[in-house]
Amino acid sequence: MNGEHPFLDLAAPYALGALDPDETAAFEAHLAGCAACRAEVESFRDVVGLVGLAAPPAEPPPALRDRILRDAHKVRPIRSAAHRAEAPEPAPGNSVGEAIEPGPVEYTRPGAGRLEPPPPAEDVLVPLPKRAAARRAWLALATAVVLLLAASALVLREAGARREAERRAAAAEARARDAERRLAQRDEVLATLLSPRLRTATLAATGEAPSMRLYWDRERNRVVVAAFRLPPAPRGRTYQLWGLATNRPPVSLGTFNTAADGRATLALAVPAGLDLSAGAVTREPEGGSAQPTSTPFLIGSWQGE
Amino acid sequence: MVEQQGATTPPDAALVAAMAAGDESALARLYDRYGRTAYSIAYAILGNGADAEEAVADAFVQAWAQAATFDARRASVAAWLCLLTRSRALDRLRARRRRTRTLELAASKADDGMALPLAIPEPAPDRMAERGEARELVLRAMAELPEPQRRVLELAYFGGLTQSEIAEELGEPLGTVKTRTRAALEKLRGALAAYPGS
Repeated sequence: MNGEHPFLDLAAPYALGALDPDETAAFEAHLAGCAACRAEVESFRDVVGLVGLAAPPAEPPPALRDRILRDAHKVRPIRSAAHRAEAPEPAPGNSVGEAIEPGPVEYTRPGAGRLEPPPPAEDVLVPLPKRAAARRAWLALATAVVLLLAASALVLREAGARREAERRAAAAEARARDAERRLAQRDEVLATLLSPRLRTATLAATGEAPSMRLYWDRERNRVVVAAFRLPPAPRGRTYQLWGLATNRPPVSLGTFNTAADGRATLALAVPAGLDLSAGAVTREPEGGSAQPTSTPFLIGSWQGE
Repeated sequence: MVEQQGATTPPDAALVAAMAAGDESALARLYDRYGRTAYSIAYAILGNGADAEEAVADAFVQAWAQAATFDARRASVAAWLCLLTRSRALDRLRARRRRTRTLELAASKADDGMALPLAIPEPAPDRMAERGEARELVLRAMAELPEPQRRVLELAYFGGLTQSEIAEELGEPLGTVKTRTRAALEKLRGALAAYPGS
């Protein structure tokens, strides 16, 4: 064990995605400020990828090739121009593309006070139709499991055992709902990132280290927010995202908060038909404000079609 | 499909750049090069063909969509595709485990939803010719790892288990698992340093 720099020992399991969730959060918080650990994680990245080559060879069905080409055909790649735009890379290995990859991604509930969370509608999953079917199947299975648990409860004679089974059924149902919600949120983020009509903005600090990327899907009226190195707002306060347009007061796009590691990835609903020139973030009282009550500390303009 | 790397075939990074520009034939060529590898990884993690297909499809479509974010200076294309496939496969594995744990509560008996990954086999001499230099290099490096280190790596890589879960699975102290993980990866890093990034 390396006594002088204990975090360095965590770089290898972290690169494998094998740290426990709380250790992962602590390590990622450390990574933000430690170049040595970042370099160590980077040095393992290719290795972890290549270990996959050792898997016993398995032959994919021939139809898979066409299926992939068909699915890709429905999806436009994220435009190169949007990423070539001059912007600070938030941290090595922290592009939004990787925010939906291995390792935990923190999802926060969109706008506590201002806007409804996006409804988990069927049309959300247009680019990847299989996911909607998979989600429905998962929900059906979860429902079936709850019914199975309820049925087993009837058979049990012992009152205590029945109570226990009912408690477990309720817990299982809560877990299924939670997994469904998390899956829906992740699908939201992925669907927006794959949208053909994508505009992006990178918000740069006006005096501090945090940064943020915004992805605005004007077809489905969603904004995906990816925040980096933004410490969580203190108790009683929240962050609020605004859409700015000339000759108009700022439009609230919703409130959010970051996790302890300074990151947040979430999708917010956006009013349709807005013509925005810039995005900005302010700190507001919890629940948000009708109009900004402070100067934005993150601001940037929209790019893309 | 066997494809020889040569002066007339584009390197991987060029195909990814072409994908970013919207060239669907580049996606097809990358699938021809790495689809079997990706499917093998997904199958090793998930244990059945239907789930493996879904994971590979997710991964390649994601690669297509995010090709513009790929930085050839920071990773090889092969490693990138393998990582994407592994991530999507582990997503499905964890979702399956959540469903399986729910069933466990009802049935109150252990089930095999947490299927342990296949042990990595010794390469058969006739196999090495088919699969190319890179796989041979990796297999040899893995075969040279001491058994306890290889086991820990298998569980983390193909089983998607955390360090604590591995410690519990093997009945070993957590510190031992961490040391073995680090040692295994450091050895592999040394052995694979020669692998040319494409």
